[in-house]
This record gives sequence, C-alpha cells and structure tokens, in this order.
Amino acid sequence: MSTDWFDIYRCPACAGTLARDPGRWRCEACAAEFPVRRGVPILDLKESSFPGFLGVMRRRHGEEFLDLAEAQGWEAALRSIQRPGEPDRLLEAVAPNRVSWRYLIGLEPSSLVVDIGTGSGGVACQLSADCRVVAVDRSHVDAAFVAIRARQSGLQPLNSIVADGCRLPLRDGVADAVTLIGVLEWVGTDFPGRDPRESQLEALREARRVLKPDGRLYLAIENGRYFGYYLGMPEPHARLRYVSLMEREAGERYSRDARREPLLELTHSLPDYRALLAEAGFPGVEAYWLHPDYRLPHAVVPVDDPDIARWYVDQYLDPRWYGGPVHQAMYAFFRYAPAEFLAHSVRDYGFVAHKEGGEIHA
Amino acid sequence: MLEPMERHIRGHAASWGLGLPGQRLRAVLRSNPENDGIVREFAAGQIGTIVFWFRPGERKPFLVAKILGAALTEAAVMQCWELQRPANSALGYALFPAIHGVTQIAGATVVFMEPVEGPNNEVQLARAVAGPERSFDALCRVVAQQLRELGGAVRGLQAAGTSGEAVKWGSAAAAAARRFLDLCPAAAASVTGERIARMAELIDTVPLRAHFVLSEDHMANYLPGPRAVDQLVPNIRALCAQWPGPVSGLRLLLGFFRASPIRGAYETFSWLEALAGCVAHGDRVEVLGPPVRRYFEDIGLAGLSREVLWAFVSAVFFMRACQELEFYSRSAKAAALREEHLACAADLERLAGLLRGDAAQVPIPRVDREQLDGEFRGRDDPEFFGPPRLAALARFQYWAQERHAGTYRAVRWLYRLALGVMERPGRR
Repeated sequence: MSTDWFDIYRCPACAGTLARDPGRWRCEACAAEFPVRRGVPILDLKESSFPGFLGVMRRRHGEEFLDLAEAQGWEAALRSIQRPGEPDRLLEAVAPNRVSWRYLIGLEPSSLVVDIGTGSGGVACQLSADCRVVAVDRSHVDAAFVAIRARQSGLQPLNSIVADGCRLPLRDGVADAVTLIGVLEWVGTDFPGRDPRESQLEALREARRVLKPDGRLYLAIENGRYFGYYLGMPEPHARLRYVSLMEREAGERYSRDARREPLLELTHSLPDYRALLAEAGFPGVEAYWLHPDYRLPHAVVPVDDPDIARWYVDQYLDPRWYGGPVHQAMYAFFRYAPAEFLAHSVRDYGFVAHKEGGEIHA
Repeated sequence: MLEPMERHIRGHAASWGLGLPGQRLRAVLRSNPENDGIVREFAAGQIGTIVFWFRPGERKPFLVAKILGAALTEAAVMQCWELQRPANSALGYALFPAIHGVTQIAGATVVFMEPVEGPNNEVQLARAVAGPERSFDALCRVVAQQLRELGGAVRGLQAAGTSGEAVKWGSAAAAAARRFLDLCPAAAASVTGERIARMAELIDTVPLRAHFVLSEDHMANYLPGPRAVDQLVPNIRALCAQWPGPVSGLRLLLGFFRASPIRGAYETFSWLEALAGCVAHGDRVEVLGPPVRRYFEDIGLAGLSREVLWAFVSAVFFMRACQELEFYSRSAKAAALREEHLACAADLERLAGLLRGDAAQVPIPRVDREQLDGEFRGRDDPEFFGPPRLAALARFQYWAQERHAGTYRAVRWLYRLALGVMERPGRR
C-alpha cells in the first residue's frame, strides 16, 4: 500500500472497524482476519474461488507473473502474456485514451476514485496522476500487479486491494467517483444461481453506497443492441450470435443448448441501462457513445441528443476503419441511418450516473 | 473540468457574442487516436483534448474548447493568435479558427475557438477513396478542391505576410539532411555527402523570402473543416522568420501525398513515386497531375526544373523526417518510423537520379478506376439521378404501393415499430 488512507476501509463481512497487524488486517468487531500478500490486503471473502487474472491466465501462473513483474518490470511481465491476435495488453495499460472520458467526472487532486475491476491498472494508474485512487479487483494477481506497477512508476496516491465489487470494504460516502469499466456485464458470472440482472443491480447499489452525495458513477459497457449483432457478429461475452438480441428466456435456452452454460453475461439496450441505473438509485444519468470502443475511446459523444451523434458521424466516421462487407454495411448504416437509430445501435456506451441530482432522462 | 469550462463560457458569453440557453450545454470529447501507442512516454493530461460544445437542439457545435498539453502556455497561444488574426483579415476568410479566449482551468490551459463546418481533409479524402461513398469522380473532385484550398492559403499568406530579403536556403537544407543522417545513420548509403552538397547547390539557385508559414505537418487536423488550420505552435514567430513560404507549401504537399487515402488510391506506388510521377509527367498523371501542377504555381515553385523541384522536395522530406524522429524518439513507433524514413530516403535518391537523367523512366502513377467506382459507378454523374432514374423510382414506388400494398405498409409499420421498441425501456 503506497499511501495510507486506512480510515476509508471497513470490514467486508460486518462493516466493522479494521485494524492492521503485521501481515494481516483484522476486524475489531467480528474478528475476521484478512491476509496481506505482496503488500495487498485481501478483503474479499471469496477470493480463493476466483480462478484467474487479467482475464486469461490460471492462478498457478500468477505468482510467476508477479515475480517477473518484480524482477524485470511490469511492462516486461505484460509482454510475456501477450498472445497473437489479442488486443495489445501493453497499449491498453498505458494508452492515454483509456481515460479520455475523465473530464466527465470532474476530478480534483483531493478526489477519491474507486476503480472496480482494475485489471492491469490502465485506468487506475492514469487517473492517479489527477487524484487518489483505490484499485479494486477480485484477483490478487491483478491487484498485486497494479501495486507493483504503481510502485515502479512512482505513483503515490494509489491503493490496490482485493475485494468483491458487490461487497466493497469501503465506508459509506467516501468516494467522489466509482468506475465500472467492462465489469458490469460479468458480475452475473460470480453468482451462477442468481438472476444476473439482480447481481448487476447489487453491484450498482454497492457502488452508490460508497459514493459521496455529489459523487458520480462512470459505467462503460457494450450495447446489447449493437447494429453489428443484427449482421451476425457474435456477442463478445457469451460468444454466441444474436444472443443479446433475444428476449432473456430465449437467450437463456439458446445459451444452454449452444454452450451448455447459463447466460450470465448480460448486456442491455440503451433504455434498459437507464432503467437499471434508475432502479439502482441513480436519478440522473448521462449516456455517451464511446467510439470506437470503451477500452480506448477517441471520442465521447452524448447520445441523449441524436443530432449530436449524427454530427459526429458526419464529421469523423472514416470508411478505412470498416474493412470487409459486414463492416462496410455498418459504416453505411451509421452514415445514413436516421439519427434516432444511431444512438441505439452504437457498440459501446459510457454512462455518467449521479448519486443525487444531475440531469434526469426518461 | 467540464463544469468549470461551462461556467467560464457562460461568464464570457456576452463578451464573446454567444447567446446561451438556461439548460446545460452538451459536450463531445475528442482525443487524437494517435495518442495511443505512439506518444507513450506522455502521461495522460499532457495531450490535448478537444471539447465541442453544443446548445440543446443545435446540430453543430457553437464553440470548441481545446484542453492543451503542457507545452502550450496561454502566452504562446495569444502570440499565435496575434499573428493569425491579421493573416485571416488579409486572406478574407478564417484560415485559422478565431480564438475567443484562453484561460487556466483545473491546472490546464484551455483555448476557446470558433468551430468550422465539415469533415477534415483526411476524412473527406478517405470517403472519396474507400467505403460505399468512393468513386473515381469523387476522388478527382476532392483532390482538386483540397489542393486548390491549400495552394490558395499558402499563396495568400505569402502575399499577406511580411518578408525580408530573399536568401539562399541551401545551407539550411543541407543541415536538415545531415541531422537526418544523425538520427538515421543507416541512410548514409543513399544520402551521401556529395548528394547533400548537390541538393544545397540546386536550392541555392532559387533565392527565397521568409513568409508566414503553415507549420502543420499532417494534412489531417484536429478541428474539422477543410479550410481551418489549427496552428498553435509555441515557436511560430521563429518559424515564420526562418522558413520560406514555398517550403511551408511543400510540407503540406508531402503530408497530402503521405496520407493513407492517397496511398490507398495509388496502391502499387510509394507516395514518393506518386509525387515524383507528378513532377516528371505533370498533367499526364491521373487525378493528381493537374491539381499538383497548379499547386506548385500557387506556392511559387512553378517553372523550376525537375531536378531543382526534387531538391526542394528532398529538403522538406529531411526537415519533416527529423521532426518526426525527434518527436517520437522514445515512443513505440520510433523503430518502425526510422525504417519507413530509411526506405523513403533510398527512394528519394533513386527518383532524384531518374529525374536528373531520363524522367520518362519515372513510372506514371495510375489509379484503379474499376476498383474505385465499383458498384457505385456513375453515381457522381449529374445524370445518375436524372429524370429517367427518378421516373423509375417513382414507378417502383407506385408498383409497390398498388400491387404490393400489404408489404409496403408492413415495411413502413416495421420501421416505425423498430423505432418505438428502441425507445421503450424494460424489454428485459
């Protein structure tokens, strides 16, 4: 832990006050103990069940990966797990556009941001240049990697912890912003027996709990009604075609038939995201189109006003980005479809949800 | 950050002549895609972001705010504007977007500018070359229009700007070439001392005056608008005192040729071969020939021999290559960029040899007209939507409505239903 803000934490089991002992944290109320490994406290009651890190590797390789990061530097460690055909992991970890949306959440040097599902720290480490950051991940390897990266890069205001996004070990109302980037769609997979929408609601309510009254949630996620899915592109989470366009029950049956697994990875349409956020207690929601995707957006375009999305397409959409007949059809659709369709058909959304106040959209 | 910016806009709305509504303004954030992976050593926040501000219900931005990187200070921006404002007046149009104000917000310098309509040069050219809007006629039209606009801008600035005595620019060109060799030593095989001396000698045969220059290295620009050059450069005064106007024109031309849409249209050629083709064969080069000839006239390099013209092209190539290699020296792109420039330097010398000897040996670049037109052949022809086609469309609609009224109504109904469903929450 590079910076001491110990008073923002609480016990994830009973919400009691935590105390620090050598090599562990301890709840003064329920006496639960939380080990600290590689300087990262494990405040997730179920961490031992989490299977991997950075989305790809199994746990047994994790310690080797962290040793490599310690010995040869975090960039070398990331390069070592890069596989052909995958997005460039190093680029995603350092690209400035990873946080091009940061102006939307109004950060100041004293602000505290909680980055849930921090992965390789692409967002957390860059935001820590502007403010204080708590990087949260369910994987100890990810959290420890971010801690190593922060230490090697000389980033001071960053804490890295292992915790469950649905049970954050943070006190109420401590954060100015919470970021959920590419995380919410996976939340259902942590609770296989439950309705994934309920799990998503729980994660959003938990994020709301830790926000200050004027705090904001930044949620970045795929559109379940992306135009490409209508053209037969596979849904990237379930890896099935058309599945996110179906009604839930039909999608569930399709998933069980096609891949012998329930459909726990859930994405929604624009109105449904708004409804979900409203149900989670966020009265004001601003919706943005993140182009070309939420990982490295070049443009953040409000979709509440279809004319603005139309203006962006007219100005910037470049046919060279769309190779092959399917993508060319998408290009043609975006260029010439009515503006009302455009806002509902883009690939990725970013939502800025205000805990209190903000603009209210029906 | 956006909220203080909006407050600043509202606070200055009257003095800037902006009518603003009571509701919140909407903002589009745009960052340069090239930031990723190229300028890795920069921390987030040091690279400029553009914010386009919209009034509710507006179809276009009424104001642009640029959050600048650390290199540009308020004073530097105002110095640029002090030079640009008289240039705009002399040209009679806004080549440079008007700057309303500069201020510090949350530790960053923010410039508030007038927006300009239309896609930027590179997007406009890309649409003429790739995608469903491409066509040979569109490419001809866009190339001619863009080179006319760029040439007109350079000509206008040369006429409007102050200039001293004409000077021989050969030694500056030779210095750029030697600096290039320092940065890319492997190029020494093609860029020999003898060649550098010859280039300087040829350039010295044409004394040039320093002029107001466009320092933009790329044809594409942050701000949309084919006419707007978003030129905020800290050392712009020094550059204007240093660079001759034609050099500035050639910098833009090299950017134009090196842009990927042109490379895509002439895909069997390197961009330098395409440029050499225009120098060697003039109007015989499809699409580019006549506009490039006019461009050379506009920037004041008409009537020079091929060898002298190529010496200028070489010098400007070395200038640009040095700037790029220095700027990206610590980035992931550095090695690939050095390779690219190494190959270009070899091409440059090979083509110089051809232009010095038998220029007919320089290949004539040709575009693949069939590929460009593709399924959209003839669409640019004014007759494409002439009376026969409109009549056919009307006949089709009549046929659909009368003979297949049910299908016609069903399609319209589905269209409306789809709109309604998309707007309706709670489907899940």
